Amino acid sequence: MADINETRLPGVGIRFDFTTRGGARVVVVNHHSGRCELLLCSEQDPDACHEVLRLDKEDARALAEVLGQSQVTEEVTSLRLSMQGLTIDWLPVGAEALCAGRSLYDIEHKDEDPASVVAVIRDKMTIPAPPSSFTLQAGDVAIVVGTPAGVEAMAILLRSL
Amino acid sequence: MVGIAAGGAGFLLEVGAVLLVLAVLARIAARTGFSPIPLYLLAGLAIGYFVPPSIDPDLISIESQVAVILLLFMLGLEYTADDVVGSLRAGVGAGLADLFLNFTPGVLVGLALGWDTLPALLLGGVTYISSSSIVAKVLDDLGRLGNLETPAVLSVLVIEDLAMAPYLPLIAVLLAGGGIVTALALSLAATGLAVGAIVLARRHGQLLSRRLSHPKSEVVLLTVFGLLLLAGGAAELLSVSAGVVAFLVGLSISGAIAERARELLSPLRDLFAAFFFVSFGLLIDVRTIPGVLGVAVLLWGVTTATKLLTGWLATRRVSAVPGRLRAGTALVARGEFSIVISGLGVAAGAEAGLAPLAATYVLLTAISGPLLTRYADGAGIRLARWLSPRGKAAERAR
Repeated sequence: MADINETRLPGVGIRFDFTTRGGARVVVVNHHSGRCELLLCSEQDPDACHEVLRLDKEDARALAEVLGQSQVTEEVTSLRLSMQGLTIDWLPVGAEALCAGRSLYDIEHKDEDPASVVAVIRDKMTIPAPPSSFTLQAGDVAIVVGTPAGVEAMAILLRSL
Repeated sequence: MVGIAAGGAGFLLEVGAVLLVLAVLARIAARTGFSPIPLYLLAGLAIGYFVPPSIDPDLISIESQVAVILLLFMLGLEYTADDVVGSLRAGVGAGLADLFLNFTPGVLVGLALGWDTLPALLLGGVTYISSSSIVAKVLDDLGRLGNLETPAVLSVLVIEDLAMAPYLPLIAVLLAGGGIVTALALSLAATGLAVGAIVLARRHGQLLSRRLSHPKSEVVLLTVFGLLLLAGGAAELLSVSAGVVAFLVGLSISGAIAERARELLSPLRDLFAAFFFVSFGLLIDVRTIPGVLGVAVLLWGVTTATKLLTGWLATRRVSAVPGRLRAGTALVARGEFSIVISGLGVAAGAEAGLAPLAATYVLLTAISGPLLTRYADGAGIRLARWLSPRGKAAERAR
């Protein structure tokens, strides 16, 4: 694999660059906002580059998927079952998640789409049917049941922002 | 009762009309790809000249204070503590060159105009600080974020913004009539506070961020905004500028909560900042501008050259000639902080010529900077060809 250089862009994000085997210099600018740009260095002026693609978070994920760099870990941890309009999912609580330290009551009443936490796995211990005053911690795995949209919303909530 | 209602109506009508004018200007700015700041300033000048509004000056000064707090807070949010440390490590030489090259012309011109030292120091600040918001936007619009010279340019901006931490308290105390010793002590204290905030943010940033977060937007908005005003007020009591503390609060927040705060507070910032730029224009008597135009143009010419040199020096190790030229021209635009600095002087009643000169100067640089850098690409390639020995020979042969 080619060496990837990483440079901070203060206030913007991170810039990655590497040279392909064919000799092209590829640059990726990863914005804090999740936006992402794929650029190519120009041959005339190696310092400058021109934009090839501008991607949002979802696009970038799709492109990575297609190129084979699939986010394996994410796929493996997400073990989702669906039956008759109901979805059940095991959702880890992210390290920076807003909901860490919040009660289940707060979390379940944030979104209109209904989904409930039916159990929590903490330190390999399973806590079935936690009360609504139960507070989640980073590192917990919540077992969530609800409509597909509700579970999706919950997944986003538990993951980070 | 009737009087109050009528007064209320007058106020609403005035503010509403101004906002609509600004909305039109922002639309024009968005379409043409320019920063709206110079347009807001022009609008303020025009409104002040043709239809002076009757808004209470006290209200304007409170509004300006909140605008400065929000502007600096959002700027601090843009940077993480790691960005700051990285920039300082990589760009301290360029930062010092930048300070020397661009602060000095302002001070010298101020002194040459027969001003006191203090307003001259303010003018130095005006010419020193490039507009982070304009430069970042221009780099993005021109697709230069991936360029090799861009990290160095952004580092220069970070260091300039950081330099405000000792500079603003120093100026604030001197303006309030405090002695130089107190001013230096406070300036040192603010620097210490900045270092402390950065260290804390790097070690325990997660803790603060987690304490502040909540799934409900209004909780986050009220907490963060309330904290900001409190911290700003406490800072003003100690006469350390409120803006600096807001900047430090912004720096110390990172991660998920920073993202939320940015989302929630940027509309507020846009609103207050737009009013701030207009009211700065309002305070200036347009008739004083022709008198300062000559000086402003001179200052513009000199400091455009010095910023070019700054960019050239900052990127001389990483980039070839075209990159260096792009970096230098990108830094030309001055904007919000030049206005903030001269606004401090105006509020304290220092030197009547400062405000019109600063406004004219910001208009010149904010408009010419983005244009210059747009055409720097072509010029850079030509310059590189001319500078290289082979190019010169080819030129001669022709």
